[in-house]
Amino acid sequence: MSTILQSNQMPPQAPAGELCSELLLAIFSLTANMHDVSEGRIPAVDTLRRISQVCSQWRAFMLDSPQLWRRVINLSRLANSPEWLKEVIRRTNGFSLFVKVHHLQHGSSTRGDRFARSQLERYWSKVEYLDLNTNSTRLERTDDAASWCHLLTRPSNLRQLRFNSPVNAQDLFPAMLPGLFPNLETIDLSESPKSFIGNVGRNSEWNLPSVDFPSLKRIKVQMYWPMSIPTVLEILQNVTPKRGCVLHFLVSLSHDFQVDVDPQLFTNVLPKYLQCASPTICLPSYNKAVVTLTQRVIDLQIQASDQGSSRDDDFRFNIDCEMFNLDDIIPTVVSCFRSFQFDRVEKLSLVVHILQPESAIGALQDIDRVFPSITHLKVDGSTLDNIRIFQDSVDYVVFSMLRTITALRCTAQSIKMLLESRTAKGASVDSVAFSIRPDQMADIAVLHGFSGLTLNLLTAEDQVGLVVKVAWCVSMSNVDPSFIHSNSSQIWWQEPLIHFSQQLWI
Amino acid sequence: MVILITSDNVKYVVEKDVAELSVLVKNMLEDIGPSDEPIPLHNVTSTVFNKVLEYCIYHRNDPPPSDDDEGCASPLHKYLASHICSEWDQRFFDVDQALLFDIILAANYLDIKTLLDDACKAVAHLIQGKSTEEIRGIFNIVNDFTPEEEARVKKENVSS
Repeated sequence: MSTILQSNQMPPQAPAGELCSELLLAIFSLTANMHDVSEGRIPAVDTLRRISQVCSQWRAFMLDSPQLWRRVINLSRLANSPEWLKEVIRRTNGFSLFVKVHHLQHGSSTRGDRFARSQLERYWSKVEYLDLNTNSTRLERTDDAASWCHLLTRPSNLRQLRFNSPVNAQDLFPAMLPGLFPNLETIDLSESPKSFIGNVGRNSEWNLPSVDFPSLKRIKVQMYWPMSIPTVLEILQNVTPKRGCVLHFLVSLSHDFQVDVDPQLFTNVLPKYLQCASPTICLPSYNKAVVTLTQRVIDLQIQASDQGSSRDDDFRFNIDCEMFNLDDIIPTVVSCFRSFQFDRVEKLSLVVHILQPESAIGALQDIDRVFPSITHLKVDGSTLDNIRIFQDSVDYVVFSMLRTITALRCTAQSIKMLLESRTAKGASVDSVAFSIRPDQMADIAVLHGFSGLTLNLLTAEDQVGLVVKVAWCVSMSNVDPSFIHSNSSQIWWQEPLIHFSQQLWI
Repeated sequence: MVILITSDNVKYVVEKDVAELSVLVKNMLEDIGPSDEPIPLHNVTSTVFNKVLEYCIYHRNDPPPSDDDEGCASPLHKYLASHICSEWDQRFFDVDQALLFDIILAANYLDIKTLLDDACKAVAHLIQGKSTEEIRGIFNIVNDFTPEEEARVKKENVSS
């Protein structure tokens, strides 16, 4: 809408007066949006105030529209205007409230946080949506953390909770367990990667209760501190969300705290939430999966779209760990998927780099069983080699529906060996896309025997730069780059040669 | 094909799927059944209908809009929904403001939800970030506050 924003014509006779109150409400509702990019510069509550001061008719209309004012309770903006806050709340006329608290700048946030908390305590029963984001390192007193936790122990009408703060998840999440959130639909708890406030280690005498969250449709937990992991896993074990609820569990560890996590917790939690999410993630739209198993990363995703980045609506279990070797827990985590089949998933992005070969084979065996309908597989060279070793070891076709392979950082020889292994079991693929350096172009000749196979040669950016039909390349036993340049008419180019040159050779 | 006649008596022959983006027209077609009778659009002039038709033809294959339950959609979801707008739409709504308001009125009369939503977004963007005086200018509205009301507004601005 930038072009419209730049337009400043003032019409001599704008028919604004003809707009009925319903249309005015529709327009003004769109300005009552605290998530607009302009919120930091001109908060929505100020836009509503300005609209309410245009003329007596609009003022009467605005003062009689609590559904607008309830959506603009930006406590960061209103912290310096307590009288105005009181007036705005009065204008909400008892409607439930959308509250936003974003203190992202250091300095003023301790006072701002306390003001926000005091207002939340005051209006807690009316808050329907809370978006709290404070990364202040000055929120350093544990009594501050305790006060936030205490707030969450109170009965609430919250439907959506987003809580991003230095208060650690292992303190925050248990506070919610008395089960006083009958309407809560989404929880989004995120620790601060920079600072940590609260208890270190769970109180072992604390007996976590089992709790129903009958409306809960999405749980997202982002942890940066290892001591939170066991408690949060235990809590997830004890929580019963609504059927279809999707878990988004993210751990990113860069701190050298040694914490023992009982592997049994993973086996208790992951299958439970996979089962719970299955009505959602087994829908046809959830057709893509990402599985990464390395010494540093465990990432399991069932995604609803083709877009590269993960969305909060995706099922995700992710541990990203700079300090520890995850090899030991990979078999446990993978085993959690073993009893599930996601036969709607057709596209799989797979990385398996595990030191123990038997673990890699075991993981691939489980992945092949869990995703029986994979037609598109994206792998790197090492993973491709692992799949080939696995394929050689069994008498059936691994990824039996496979039609397309995209292989990054891979040699033509590795591709050839996998294709030969599959061919020996009676299976083929339609196309292989892989990146190749110009000086290794001659290597594609090793694939000349796979008649009918389409090779998509990728550029460094993984874009298709050149398509070669192998059937036309059978005679290219000693092919080299100069041959391709001088005999381009014998090759089916997807793009003009000049384009190929720009994409691939520069 | 469907024949539509605007308030200034201009006749349009429109493909049925395009015409039926208007719930008003769709209901009228269902009521009258198979017929070559033209459908009158009493509240829309040809100037405005040309724009409406342009929009409907461009968006004829869009998926139908989902009902937006205010209680269910998250604020972030609403934010995204309020900003997803193609370049074509941006150009389409870059018109003088009188025509923009006429499009809103026509979309409301013809009951074309997506056009109404998009046009309202365009007007909302005109308002956002503007001072009260600038908003008065955009909507061509005169400040009619009494001195007492004006005093209350000033007090409100001080406290805010």
